[in-house]
Amino acid sequence: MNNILKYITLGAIVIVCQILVSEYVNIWAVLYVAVFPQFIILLPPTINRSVYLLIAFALGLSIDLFADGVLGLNAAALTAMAYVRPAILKFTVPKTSFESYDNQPLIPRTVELPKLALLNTLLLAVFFTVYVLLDSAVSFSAGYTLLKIVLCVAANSAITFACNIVLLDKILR
Amino acid sequence: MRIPPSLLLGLGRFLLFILLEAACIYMVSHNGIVQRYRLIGKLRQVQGFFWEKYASMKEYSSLRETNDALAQENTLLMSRLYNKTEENTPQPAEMKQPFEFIGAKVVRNTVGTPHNYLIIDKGSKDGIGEDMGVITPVGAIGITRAVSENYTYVLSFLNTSQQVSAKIGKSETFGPLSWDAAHPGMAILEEIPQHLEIQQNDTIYTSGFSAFYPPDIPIGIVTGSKLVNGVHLSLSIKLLQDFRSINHVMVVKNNNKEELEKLINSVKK
Repeated sequence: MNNILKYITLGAIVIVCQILVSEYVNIWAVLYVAVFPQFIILLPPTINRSVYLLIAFALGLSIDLFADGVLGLNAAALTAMAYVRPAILKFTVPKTSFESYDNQPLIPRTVELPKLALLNTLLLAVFFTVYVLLDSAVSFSAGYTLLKIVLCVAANSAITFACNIVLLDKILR
Repeated sequence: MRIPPSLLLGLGRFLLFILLEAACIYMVSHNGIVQRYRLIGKLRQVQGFFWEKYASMKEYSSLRETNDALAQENTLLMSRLYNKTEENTPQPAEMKQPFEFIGAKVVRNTVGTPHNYLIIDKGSKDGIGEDMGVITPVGAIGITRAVSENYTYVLSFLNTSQQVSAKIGKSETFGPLSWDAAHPGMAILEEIPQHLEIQQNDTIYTSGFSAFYPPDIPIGIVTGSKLVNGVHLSLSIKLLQDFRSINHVMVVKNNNKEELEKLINSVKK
């Protein structure tokens, strides 16, 4: 129960953070800064996978509603990321390790940093590929789409890495 | 044959995933920006109040720029007035002016995302409706998409789905002008025949071939061109309006719009 409350609070904080980021951190139209996928990535792997999908969908839709964006866009990308997480977890973090992480979030305290960084980068790559492809469906340009995916994944992986080290390890004790 | 429960579970999860994705794609394909604005309309009214306060503070700090812009605007209007004396001939009383303009202040303006929008401080009670053009003396800013009593949501030209019919200065050749999706000050004018001699710094105007914008509003200058598929020219356009510093706009009410739409619909039938 305590854990559920902790995650609900963290989820609400993530939504507020993303609204502020969308409002004030508009560096370049090609670069989309998204802090909320980190919340979905760190949820314990032991969580029921259908519930996990629904959480991702609900969080994405909340971001679409309250931050600047197209309704359904973040929700589609986040749901896809949540769906492939178990498969990516299988080869980035060995299965034997799961049991020891029982009900633990995926943060530097529970997963080795290089493995966690790889997991984050791959999941963010899925998120931004779906996001950018859906977003540019109206006016598709291969070069622009690729540039945007690469830039977004690189920048957000760096932000996520910093967040993991500076914040999440300390908050989720 | 007995199906393993793990396979059934996996199939159930896959179906749930497809269902959720289908719902998202439905929302995206139905122009979700406007739906979102309507869904949280009440919240937007509250946000509008704060945006208005913030815009007032910003406006105060940029009074010098606003004065300069107004002076330029005056010069432009004076020159138009004196250059178009032939239009001053009296018209029959029953003939309405084709365009009316409603001035409004911008209370919210985004430029750093692929889906930019503006909120202006005039709404349905000021005579604004959906699908009206929004301009400044040097720019086609966007189209009104959702209207509440006191505020209007304008889909900015800086949007990957927006296009404006534009023509090149003296040649009268026109094509679709769209944002380049990377820089708030740049756009692309496409489908220009390659035999045309295009000069750097040629001015681009609205063509007037749509019910949204009146003709001859200067919107940009040519900065470069390239041949596309060996057939058409694609021109790089530097927009005259700095979208980062829009304080005042005019909403264009086209009095002939209904008549035009009726005519087009009757031909379609």
